[in-house]
Amino acid sequence: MKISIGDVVLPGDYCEEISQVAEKSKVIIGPGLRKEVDRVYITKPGVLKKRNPGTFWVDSYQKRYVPSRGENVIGVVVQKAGDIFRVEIGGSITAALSYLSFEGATKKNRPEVQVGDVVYAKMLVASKDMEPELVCVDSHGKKGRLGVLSDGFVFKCSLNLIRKILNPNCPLLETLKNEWPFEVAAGMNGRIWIKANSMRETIAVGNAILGAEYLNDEEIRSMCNNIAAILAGHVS
Amino acid sequence: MKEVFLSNCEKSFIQKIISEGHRLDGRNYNDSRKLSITFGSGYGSCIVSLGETRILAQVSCEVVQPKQIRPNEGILYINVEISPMAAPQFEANRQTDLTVYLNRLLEKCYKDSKCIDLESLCIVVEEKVWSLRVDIKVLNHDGNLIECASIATLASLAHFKRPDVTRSGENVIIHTLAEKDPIPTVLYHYPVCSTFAIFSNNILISDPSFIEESVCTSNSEEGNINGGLLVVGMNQYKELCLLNLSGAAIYNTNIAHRATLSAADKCKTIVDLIKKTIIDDDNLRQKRAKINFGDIITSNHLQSLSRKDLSICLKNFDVKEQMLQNDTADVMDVEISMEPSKYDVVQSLPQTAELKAKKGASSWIEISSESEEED
Amino acid sequence: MEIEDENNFKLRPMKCELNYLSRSDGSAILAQGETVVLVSVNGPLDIKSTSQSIEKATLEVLFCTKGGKPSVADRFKENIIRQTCETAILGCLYPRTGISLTIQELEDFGGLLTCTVNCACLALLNSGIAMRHMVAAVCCAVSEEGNLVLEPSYTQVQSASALLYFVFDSRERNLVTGFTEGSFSENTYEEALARCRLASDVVFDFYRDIVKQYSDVI
Repeated sequence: MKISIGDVVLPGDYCEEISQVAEKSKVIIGPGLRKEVDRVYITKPGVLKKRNPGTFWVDSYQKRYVPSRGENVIGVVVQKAGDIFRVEIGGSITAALSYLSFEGATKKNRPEVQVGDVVYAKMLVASKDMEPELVCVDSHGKKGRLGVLSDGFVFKCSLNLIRKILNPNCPLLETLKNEWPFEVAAGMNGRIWIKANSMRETIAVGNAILGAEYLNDEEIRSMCNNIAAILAGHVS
Repeated sequence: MKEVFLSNCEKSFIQKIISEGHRLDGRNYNDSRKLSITFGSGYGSCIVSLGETRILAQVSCEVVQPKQIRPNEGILYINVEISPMAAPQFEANRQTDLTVYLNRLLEKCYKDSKCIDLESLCIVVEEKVWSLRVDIKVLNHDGNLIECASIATLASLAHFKRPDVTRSGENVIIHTLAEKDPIPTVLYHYPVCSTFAIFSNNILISDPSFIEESVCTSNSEEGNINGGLLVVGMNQYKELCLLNLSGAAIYNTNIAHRATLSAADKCKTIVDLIKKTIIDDDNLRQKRAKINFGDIITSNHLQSLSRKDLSICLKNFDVKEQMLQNDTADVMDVEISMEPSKYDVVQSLPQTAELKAKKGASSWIEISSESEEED
Repeated sequence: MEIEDENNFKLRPMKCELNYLSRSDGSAILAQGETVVLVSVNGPLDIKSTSQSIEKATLEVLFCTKGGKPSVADRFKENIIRQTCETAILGCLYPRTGISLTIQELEDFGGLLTCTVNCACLALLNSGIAMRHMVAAVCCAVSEEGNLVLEPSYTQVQSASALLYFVFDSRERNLVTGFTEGSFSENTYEEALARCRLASDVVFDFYRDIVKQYSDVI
């Protein structure tokens, strides 16, 4: 079926608009789109989005992570194998994380990472034919916010939810941060790490994030206030 | 089978919150998840869901030759299957320790407790008896399979009706459902299992979720015997039918005693619920209402997506109105020391600023546009 | 042969719920009339190296009946579904991985196979696995009098002289899979094919409706 921007699309649909734009200028096609001989076909169900001048993608529902370069993910170290740590990131196979890709790590000065630790890392290599590779430093050798996450709690959620809460327009974190202090790290692989002063506050953050999945902005705000009221011990 | 790998922080977090009197999904120690039983179109098929754990049970019957040592008794056979549908780590057509364990427990609970009148399943002594086969299929594994499977087994057995037979000389005629009303299975008593997870040697948690279950059993593997699972099978007369101990329960008689006490009431309520749903279902069938598994599909899709109970939840989230009274009391008890944190918010503004910076750093849009270019 | 209004199709009422199972990557429960099927999709996953393919994802299909022992008929169904879904999935995007599709029959009142194929397609949509196109299955029975019955009911299936199953893709409505039981003439086949092809639009519209219902929260 022929469709246009903003429509609900299904696999097998095609979009002529993309080909038209492509005739004039460079076009970037993102997830959910695939070029075949003559046309651009949709491969995932969802909503077709466009960002000017020529970026197109499909927002779809997904739970399983497929590694993609440059994304920040949260993984669990499952094995130490010689020079590398094997990190479980929810994809089809574990990712490799070299012990040298930590800030200040040298052959003599190994980073302290144990099996079972949670790491926040960036995808360096993510090709469908190769084992994914993670790094915990940026190109300047600085760790930034990457590295081992201690304490706190990790939970899984759908990939959409991550994109939703990281969207700058999403009121969730904006509202929550005024209520009580907490730290959060969101991995594009559908994992969220949270840490707050007390257990109850941590659970409250998790509750708010998971609860936001199917709510609109207004509902999210009122839910956050509700949770804050419960947390304070008196419903106002 | 690949095991699900738990991170250290999940383990320690779950242990900490439980020792502080909370649970991840906001339940109290003794609370179970929501139980619902749906029957299918035929006799003896049902889907039981306990929270998100879902199990399908189907009873079927056939005429077979009895075992030689018990020539006048029917046969009960229980078969448990866990397919990749339950969770991605399971493999198709492969027996795992979990399947064997579940099978054994269910056999103990329903065969060895002699709750079914097997003699009534006899048609001709030494020649023909009914053989009942219970197929248990795990649809979704979210912890506490044992309790859910035992409820499913019991509900399907109690719901099942076998065709009537008449004997005329040597011949045995099996009547179809249209010819003669089918006969229900005779159950002397209704045993049901309930599971408890043990944390830090003396805390008992009923109906553990998947993560709670994995945390408390992973402890016992590492030689640290503070956790473990305890299964209590009891019938509606509060008679003990089955006791399965692992981990800390073996060394601590006190725990087993406490578990049986709390299981007694729980099993009674479950059995009452099973009986009630079967009677309701029977009444509907009398009125020739069509009952079908299709009924479990809710038509509002958005609702069905968001209907799921949150796996991480505060104690009184969502039920605030009704629970208001209880909960404020509850919160006061446990959380008095929490009160100052309200003021912390103002003081620790830098930290909230920190949060914002963090969000900026991992902003998806920036990275995604980059990755899209590489696509 | 009786000629009906070509646009007047009566498929059995369809009801569907996506994401029915929390632990699967994608799942759907679909009722077509009184036939109900539950399908779960997991993947792309790691699988044992003997069944890996360096070119595309390996699709593993498991069909579970409600009760009783597994039979040859189940393996046959698995084969049909695997071949149908393999054409639909863009497996080349996920080489050396496995996609597992588990089907649980819940109620069988005729047309189990069409319901299974449609439900599998919905579960794949829900899982977010990249697909070339969607598939829709339509069943057609030839009654004893020689009339064509679309989406026959349980009693019609029992009395039918032949059963024809067709699976179409969503791009050009090409035939993906077709298989038949019983005997019939060539003309009957052609007509059934044409009729089912038109009816497949109803199924595709149904898919679109379902995705529409949750698209605004994506």
